[in-house]
Amino acid sequence: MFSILNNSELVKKFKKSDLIIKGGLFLLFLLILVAIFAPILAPYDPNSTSLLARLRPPLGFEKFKVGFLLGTDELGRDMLSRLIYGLRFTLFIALVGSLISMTIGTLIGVISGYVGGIIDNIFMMLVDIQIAFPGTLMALLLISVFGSSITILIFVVGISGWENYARVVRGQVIQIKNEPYVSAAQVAGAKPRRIILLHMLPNIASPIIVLYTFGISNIILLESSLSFLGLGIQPPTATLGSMTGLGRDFLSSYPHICVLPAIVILLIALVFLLLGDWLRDSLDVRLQRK
Amino acid sequence: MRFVIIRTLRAFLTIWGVITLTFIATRIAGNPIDNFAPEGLSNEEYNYLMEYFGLNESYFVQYISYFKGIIEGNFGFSYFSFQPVTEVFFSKLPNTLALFGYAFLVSLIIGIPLGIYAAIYRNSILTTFIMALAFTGYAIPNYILAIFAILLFSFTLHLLPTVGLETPYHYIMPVGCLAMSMLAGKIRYSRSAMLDVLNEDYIRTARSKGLSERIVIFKHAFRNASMPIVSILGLQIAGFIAAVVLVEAVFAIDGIGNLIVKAAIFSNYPILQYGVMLWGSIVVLATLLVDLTYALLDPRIRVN
Repeated sequence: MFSILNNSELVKKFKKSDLIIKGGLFLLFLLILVAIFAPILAPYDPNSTSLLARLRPPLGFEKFKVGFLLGTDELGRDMLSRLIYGLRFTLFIALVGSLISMTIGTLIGVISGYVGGIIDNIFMMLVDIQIAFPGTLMALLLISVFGSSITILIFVVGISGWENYARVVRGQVIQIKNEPYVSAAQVAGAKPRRIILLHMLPNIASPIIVLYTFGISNIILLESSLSFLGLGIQPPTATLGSMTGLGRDFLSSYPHICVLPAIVILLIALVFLLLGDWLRDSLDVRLQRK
Repeated sequence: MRFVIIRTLRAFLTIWGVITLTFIATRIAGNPIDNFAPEGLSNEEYNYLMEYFGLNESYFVQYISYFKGIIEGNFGFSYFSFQPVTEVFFSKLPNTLALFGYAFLVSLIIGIPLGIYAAIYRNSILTTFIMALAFTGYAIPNYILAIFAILLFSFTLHLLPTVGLETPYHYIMPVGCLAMSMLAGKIRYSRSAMLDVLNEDYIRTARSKGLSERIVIFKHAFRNASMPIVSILGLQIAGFIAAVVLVEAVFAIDGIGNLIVKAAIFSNYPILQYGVMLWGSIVVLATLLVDLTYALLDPRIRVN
C-alpha cells in the first residue's frame, strides 16, 4: 500500500504542479508540524487565564499587549496558544476519525464486493440507510444520546462518511475480482484473506487514499461545526470550532476572538481539499458517482 | 415494472431502517425521561410522565406503538411543551422554507447560467473566475462565511441587521450565505453536464448543418443537458440540512435547524426522531424519483 506514497511518478508530478498546489502542500506540512510540536511552540498554557490582559487585540492594533502576539480572549487566555492547541485537537480528531471511517468502509466494501450475494445486499442496504441519514443529523442524535466527550466525538465523526469508502471499494473489488492475477492466486490456493490483503488492496489503494484525504477535510468541517453549535468538546478545552462559536458573542467589539480560529479552520480544510484534488488527478482516480 | 416495484420496496425498507436505527439510538442510553425530568419530582409525577409519553412499556411495545402512531399520523409529543411533534415542526417550517427556497432560487438563477457559460467558453478569463467562485463556495463552510459577512455588512458598514427575519433586509445575509454553498454544486454540475453533451455526435452534426451557435447551444445542447442537471438538483435539495442548521444558528433564525439543535442539546428525542425521519424520507424519495424518471427515459437502466 505504501508503494503508492513513495511512488516516484508522484514526486515528478509534484515538481510539475502549480504554485498553488506546492504552496498548499507546504502549508499543510507546516500546520501538521505546528500541531505536533504544540507544547514546544505555544508560548502559554492554552487554558491559563490572566485577568489583567483580557480582550487584547493582536499585534498592530491599539491596546496590543507585548507577549500576546495574537491577542487574548475574554478570559485573558493567549489566542496564539489556544489556536495552536485547537489546531492540534482538530487535526487529531480528523485524522483518527477518518481512519475509523476508512477502516469500517473498506472492510464492508471488500466483503460486500468479494462475497456478493445476500451479504452484499444487506451491506448495500446499510449504505442506503447511511446516505439517507445525513452526517450532521446522526452526529446530533448520537451526541444528544451519549453526551459530548472526546471519545464520543471521535466515534461520531468516525462513522460518518464510511459509506463513501464502502461504495467505492465495493465497485473496485467487483471490477478486479476476475482479473487474471486474482484468479491465479485463487488457483494457487491462497485464502481469501491473503488475496484481499496482498493482491487486491494494494491495487485499489489509490482511490482509498484520495477518499481519506477528502474525508479529513469533511471531518474537520463536521467537527468544527458541531463544536461551533456547542455540541462538540466542552470548554475550556479549545478546538477551532468551539473557539469560533464562543467568540461569536464578541464579534462586534473584539472580532479577533472569533475570526482567527475561523481563518485557521478555513486554511486547514482548504489544504486537505487541495491535497485531495491533486492526489485524485495525479493518481488518476475516477471516483464514480453512482 | 419489476424494476419499479423492487426499487420502491427498497426505498421503503431504507426509510424503515432509518426510523428503526433512530429508535434504537434514542433508547440505548436508558430511559429518556431521566435526562429531562426536573429534580425533586414525586414518584406520582414521574409515573405520570412515563405513562404520558408511553415510556413505561417494554421497548418492543414502544417500538410497535411508535410505528402504529406513524401510520396514524401521530409522531409523538415534545418532552417539553407536550405539543404534538408535527405541530412544533410546522410552526417553525415557514422560516426555514422561506430561507431555503430563496437561497435555492438565487443559486439556481446564478449558478446554472454560470456553469453553462463555463462549459462553452472554457478558456475565457471569466471562466477562471467562475470556477474560483465555485471552489470558494465549496471550500468555505457557510457558518464561517456568515461570520465574515456579519463582520463586514453589519459591524463595519452598518448596512444589514444581524439576527432574525423580521424585514426583507434580514433575509439578505442568511439567504446569501446559504445560496453561496449551494452555488458551488450547481456551477460544477451544470458545467460538467454541458461539457458531456457538447462532446456528443449530434452537436457536431448540428454544427455541420450550419446551424447558428445560439441554436446549437440552447436547442440541442442545453435541452439534453437539462435532464442530468435537474436530477442533481433533486438530490442536492436533500443534502442541505447541515447548511440550514448552521446558517440558522449563526443568524438566530427560529426555524427547523435551530429546533433540531435545541432538541439535541436537551435530549428532546421525539423532535429529533421526527426530524431524522422527515429528512431521511425526503432524501430517499428524491433519490427514488430520480431513479424512476431515469429508468422511464432510459431503457438500459431497467435491464440492470
